[in-house]
Amino acid sequence: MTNLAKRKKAELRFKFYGIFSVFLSLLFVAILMQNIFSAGIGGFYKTVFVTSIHFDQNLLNLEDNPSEEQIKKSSFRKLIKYNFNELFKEYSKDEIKQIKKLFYRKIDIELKNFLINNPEFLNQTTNVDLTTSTHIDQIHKGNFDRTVPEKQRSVNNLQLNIYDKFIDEKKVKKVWNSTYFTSGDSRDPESAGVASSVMGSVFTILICFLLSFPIAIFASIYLEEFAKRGKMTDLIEININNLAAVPSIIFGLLGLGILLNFFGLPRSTALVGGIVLSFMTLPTIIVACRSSLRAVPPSIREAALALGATKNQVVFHHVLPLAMPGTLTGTIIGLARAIGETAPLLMIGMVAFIMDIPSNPLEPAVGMPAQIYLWSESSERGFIEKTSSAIILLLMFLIVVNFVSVYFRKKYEKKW
Amino acid sequence: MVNTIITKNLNVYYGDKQAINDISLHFLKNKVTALIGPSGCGKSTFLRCINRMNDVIDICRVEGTISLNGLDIYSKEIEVEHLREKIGMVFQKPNPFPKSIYDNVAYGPRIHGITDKKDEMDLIVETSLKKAGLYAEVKDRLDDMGTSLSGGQQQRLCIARAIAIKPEVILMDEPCSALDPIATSIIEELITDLKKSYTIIIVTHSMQQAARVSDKTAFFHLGNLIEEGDTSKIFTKPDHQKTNDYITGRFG
Amino acid sequence: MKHADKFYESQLNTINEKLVKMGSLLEKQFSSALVVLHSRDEQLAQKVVDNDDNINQLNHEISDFVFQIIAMRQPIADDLRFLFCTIKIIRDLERIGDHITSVAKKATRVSKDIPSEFIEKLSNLGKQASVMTHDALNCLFERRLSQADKITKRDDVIDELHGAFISEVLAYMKKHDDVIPDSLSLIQMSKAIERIGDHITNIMEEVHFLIEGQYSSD
Repeated sequence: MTNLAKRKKAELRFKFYGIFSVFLSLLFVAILMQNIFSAGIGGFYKTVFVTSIHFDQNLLNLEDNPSEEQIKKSSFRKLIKYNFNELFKEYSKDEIKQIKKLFYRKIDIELKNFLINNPEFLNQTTNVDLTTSTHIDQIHKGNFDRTVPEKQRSVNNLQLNIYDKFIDEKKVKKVWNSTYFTSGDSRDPESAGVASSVMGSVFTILICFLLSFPIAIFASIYLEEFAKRGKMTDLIEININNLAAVPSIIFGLLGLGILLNFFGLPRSTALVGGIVLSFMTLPTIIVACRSSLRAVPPSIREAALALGATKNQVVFHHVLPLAMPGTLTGTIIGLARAIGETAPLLMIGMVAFIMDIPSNPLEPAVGMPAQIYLWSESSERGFIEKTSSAIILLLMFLIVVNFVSVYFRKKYEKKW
Repeated sequence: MVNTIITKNLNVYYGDKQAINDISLHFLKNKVTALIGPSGCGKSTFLRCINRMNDVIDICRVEGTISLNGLDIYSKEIEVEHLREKIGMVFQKPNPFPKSIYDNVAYGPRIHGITDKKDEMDLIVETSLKKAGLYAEVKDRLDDMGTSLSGGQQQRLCIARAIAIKPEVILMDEPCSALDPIATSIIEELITDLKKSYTIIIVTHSMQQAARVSDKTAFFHLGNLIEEGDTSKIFTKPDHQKTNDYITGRFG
Repeated sequence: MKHADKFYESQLNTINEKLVKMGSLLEKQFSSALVVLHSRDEQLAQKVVDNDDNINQLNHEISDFVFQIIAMRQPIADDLRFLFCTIKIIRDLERIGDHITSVAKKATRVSKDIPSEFIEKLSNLGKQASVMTHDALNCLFERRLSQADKITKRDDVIDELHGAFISEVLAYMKKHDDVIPDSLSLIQMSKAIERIGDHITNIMEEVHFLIEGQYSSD
C-alpha cells in the first residue's frame, strides 16, 4: 500500500475511534439520564384522593367569616372523624381506622389550608384533593409489588380494596407536588421537600463566591502584576497549585479546627460551610485568573503605560477586563465543584436533619448533596424516589450555573 | 534651532550586559530624526529610555542624563506619568485598546483629567482624529471597536490616541513595519505633516523610509552611535565607512 | 566589504568589468590610431573604424544595465555615486572613441608630401593624450586620485601644444596654397586630440565626485 493510502486508512480508523468514543460516552450519559429521570420524575408528582368534605362550621367551632388565625387555631379532628364516618358508612369503626391510614396523617393541616384559601366553602360540601399516604403513593406510581403475601406488605387487603374502589370511581389522581419545592426535610416522605437544602446550598455557594472571588482576583493581580519575581513568589505559586489538588475533606478538618473550635462559629451553618468551600475554591480561581492575566498581551499594557497610565490604571482599566472571560471560566469550574462537595461540609456538621428553611446564612442548614445522601440512607420507598428527584434538581442547578457562566463569558469575550 | 531632547553620556545595561554605550545625541524641535542600525544595535532600547518605558524592566539600569527641555527626566521631581504625557509613543504593531474608537482616543485625556465635559472631550477626539488623518473615515462610527479597523487605520488611531494628550515629542518604533505600502505612505505623509507640531523620533529598518521622512539620521551599531547628521548627507556621502556599508547592504 | 546580496554584488562587478573593457578597448584604439598616423595603413584605419562599434555597443549595454539596477535596487551612498558617475563617464569615453576614429580616418588622407615634423608633433600630441587617458582610467579603476595633478598638468601641456601646432600649420598654409586640404586635416586632427583632453578632464571630475562625494572646487 502506498504511503498516502496507509495514512488515509489510519485517518479513517482514528475518525472511527473518535466517533465510537463519543457514541459510547453519549450512550452512557443517556443511560444514566434515563435511569435518574425514570426514578426521579415521579417524585415531582403526588397521588391524591379526591374526597368529598363537608366543612361543618359547628364541628370546627368557628364563627361566621372567621379570620385566618381562628381557622388555624381550630381543631379539625372532629370534622375529619365526621366526614370519614359519612364517607365510609358501610364499614366498621376498626375498618375506618385502617382506611384513614390510606391518607397522609397530616390531612388536618391540608384541610386547614384549604379552608384558609377558600373560606367560601365554610358550611359547604366540596371535593378536596387530599394527599394519600406514602404507601398508596408508591402503589399508584407502580413501585409496589402487590403479589407479596399480606403479612409482608405495608398495605393490607382491605386498604387495597378501598384503593381499587377509588380507582374505579375515578377519585385518584396525580397532581404536581408543590410541597416538594416549598417544604424542608421531614420524617414523612409525603411532606419532605428540597426547599431547606436548596436554600442551604444557595447560601453556602453565595458565601463561597463572595469570599473566594474577590480575594482570588486581588491575590492574582498582586502576584502577577505587582510582586517582584523571586523565590518567594515561586514558592507561593507552587503552594497555590498544590492546594488546588488537596482532597476536600482536609478543608473540612481545617474548618472544624479553626472555624468551629477556635473561632467558635455556629456549627452546621451556611456561613461556616461557605467559608470552608471558599478555602477550596480559592486556588482554582487564582490559577485561572493568573493564567488569564498572563495571557493578556504586553502590547496592551505598553500602550496604556505609554499614555501615562499608572500601574493600577493599567491593571484595572485594561488587563483585568481582558482577563475576565478566563477568570469567570475558572470561577464556574470552582463553584461547580463546590456545589457538589459533601465531605468538607460533613466535617463541620452540615448534615443534620433540617426541617426549617434557613432564612439567613447563620441558621443551621444542609446542602443538596448532603440531603440526597441522607434520603438515600432511608429505607422508605417514598424517599428513594425523592432522592432521585433531588438529583435531577441538582443537575438542573448545575446546568443553569453553566449557562450563566457561558452567558457572562460570551458577554466579555465580545470585547476581546 | 532648539533642542527638545538631549542625551548625554547615556549608558544602559541589562544586568551585566551593556546595551547602550556612551551615547550623546540631541534631537531638534519640530524635526524628524530617524534612528537606523542593524538588529540588536540598541536603537529601540535607546528610544524606550526617552519615555522611561524601560523602567518596567527590573534588570535595566540607566546611567547618564536624558533631558527634556533642559529637565533631567530621571530626576525625582518628575513623575513618570507626567513625562509620558509629554512624550508619546507609537509601537511597531498597532495596539488599539479593545474599546470603541472614541474611547481609545478619549482614554488619555480622561486619565490625565484634561476634561470631564462631554462636548470638550468630543472636540478633543475629533481634533486628534483629524490630525491623524482618520476622522473622515470613522466619523460615522466612533462607537465601533478600535480593533475592527484595518491595520493602517489602527495605526493612525494609535497616533490619534497619542496626540490627544498634546505631547511635545512623539516616539515611533518601526510604526510601518506591519503595514502594506499604501498604508505606509499614508503614515509617512502624516509624519511629515505632524512634525509641524511635534518633535518626532522614529526607529526604522527601512533605509528608504528614513530617507523619505527624516531630516536627521543617526546610525547605531552594537550600542554605539557611529554617525549622525543630515539625512541627505548620510544617504549620499556618509563620513564613516561602517555607515556606508550598512546602508548599502553590506552587512546588518 | 562585499554586499550581503551576492547577486547584487555580482551585478555591480559586471558593470565595473564592462567599464574596464571599454577602457582597454579605448587604449588599444589609441595606439592603433597613432600607428596609422605614421604608416597611413588604410586597413588598420578601417579596423579602428570598425572597432569603434564595440565601444558604442558597450556604452549602450552599460547604460541599460545601470538603469535596471537603479530601478531594482534603489542604490544609495557609494553604490549610487558609482552608478551615477558611470553613466556620465561612458558618454565621455564614447566621445573619446569617436575622436580617435576620426583621427585614424583623417590620418590616411594626409598626403606624404606633408613635412614629417608636423606628423611628429601631432604624434607627440597624441601620445600625451594617450598617456593622459591611461592615467585617468587608472584613477577610475583604482579609485585613487593620486595622478589627478599630473593629469591636469598634462591637459595644460596638450592645450599649449595644440595652440602652437595650429599656429605653425596656419603659417605653413599661408606659404603653400596647394596644401589647404591637408592642412585642414592636420588642424582637425589636432583639435580632436585636444577635445580628447577635455573629455578626460570631465572624467576626472566624475572620479573626484565618485571618491570624495563632491566635485572639486576648482
